[in-house]
Amino acid sequence: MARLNDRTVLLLILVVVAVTSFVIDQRDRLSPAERGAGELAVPLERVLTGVFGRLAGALDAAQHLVTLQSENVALRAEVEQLTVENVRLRSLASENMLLREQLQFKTDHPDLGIASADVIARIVAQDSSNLLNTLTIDRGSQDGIQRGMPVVSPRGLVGQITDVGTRWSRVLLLIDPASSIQGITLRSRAVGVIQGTPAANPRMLYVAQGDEIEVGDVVLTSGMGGNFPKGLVIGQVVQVQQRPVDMFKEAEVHPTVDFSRLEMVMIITKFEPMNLDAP
Amino acid sequence: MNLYATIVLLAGVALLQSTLAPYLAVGRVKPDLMLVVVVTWSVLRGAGEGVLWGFIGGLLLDLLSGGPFGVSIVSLMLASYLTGVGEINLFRTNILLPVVTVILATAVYYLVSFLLLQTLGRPVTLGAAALQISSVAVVLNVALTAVFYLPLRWLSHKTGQVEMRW
Repeated sequence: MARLNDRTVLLLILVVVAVTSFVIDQRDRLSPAERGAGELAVPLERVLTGVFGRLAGALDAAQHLVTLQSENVALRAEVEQLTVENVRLRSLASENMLLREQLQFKTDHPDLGIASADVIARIVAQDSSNLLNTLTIDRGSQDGIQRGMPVVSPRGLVGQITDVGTRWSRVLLLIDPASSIQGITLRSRAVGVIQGTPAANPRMLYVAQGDEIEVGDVVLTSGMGGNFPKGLVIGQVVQVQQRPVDMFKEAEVHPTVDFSRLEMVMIITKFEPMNLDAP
Repeated sequence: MNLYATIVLLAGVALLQSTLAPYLAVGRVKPDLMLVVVVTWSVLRGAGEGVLWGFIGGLLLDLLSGGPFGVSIVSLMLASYLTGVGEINLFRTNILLPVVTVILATAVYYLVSFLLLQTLGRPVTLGAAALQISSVAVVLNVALTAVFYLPLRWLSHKTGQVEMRW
């Protein structure tokens, strides 16, 4: 009983410390500690992400090797050697293709200020929690990155910068419930708010009953609200919910970006968001 | 176990959580490496050390996370405390014990995290989506427990059943 009391006391002390941390966090006093942790962790995370990425690639290659077992034994060594070389070349080709796509995006959007390669960032880590959808990238204030800047990939909008360190930044993804983006359908110009949803597609909310929206409609940023430039692709409508009793329609939007396979992103540096406190 | 060694070990787990865990994800749901390590240690060594590991592990996760500071600290501490106290009189070397405990701890961890995030003004979707994330996480965490249990039991045996020294 005495031991249990000791534990209860320990628990109470640590909970008090944790609650104190909530208060400190609300007053933004922890920023230096978080920035320091980011500066320390990002180089390690970059190395580890690289290692695990290559391991995943090697595992893929190993799966392919299983299918070669029935072939001539004498050729196996040569096949393995070629496979290893192939993995290396495919990795290079994949990176090359990504860079070409980024270059094409810059050419297609000359107005967005993606003028130099230093705004291309590698993803070094994902948020530890399944309830939060953020990424850490290896570019920060020394590269001209600022809070609120939109983040894109050649496939479309990724999210927005929320925290900036010297050599790292954190990106709030558009699939996070804390993310709200003003969207508009390309075909019918129906407007709504794109709200992230964990483990599912984002929802387009507050679409007026009179507005036309259909499955297959492409959704873009509307530019309203001032947090994102106009015309960035968000996704495609895959389901529409419409009930006569509701004031608004809702739609499920499948993002064009595959967030599980993102390796590199671009930050739009020339765009100045109007509301830096959002999201 | 020495406090500094604990910090280094848990810092390594925190880094793996943000770099390795995404490669082990099913859909968008990643396993909770830190939760598995902390709760398994809590089962092996009791709530006292478990809560302290939960505090250190949560602190490290919060420093590297984009969410409100303190959510991981409280969630991990409570999960390890409840499981550690609950298992105190049971046979601790059975592999099934940490597996069952991790299932319960994952439920506590997600429930507390959801409530704290909502309370602190960080929107989270409750209901079916929450249940879906937690369910997938339970399966992944149980699978990882089988991987982590033996090394942690070995570590517990090597470091002895002594109170943590500061």
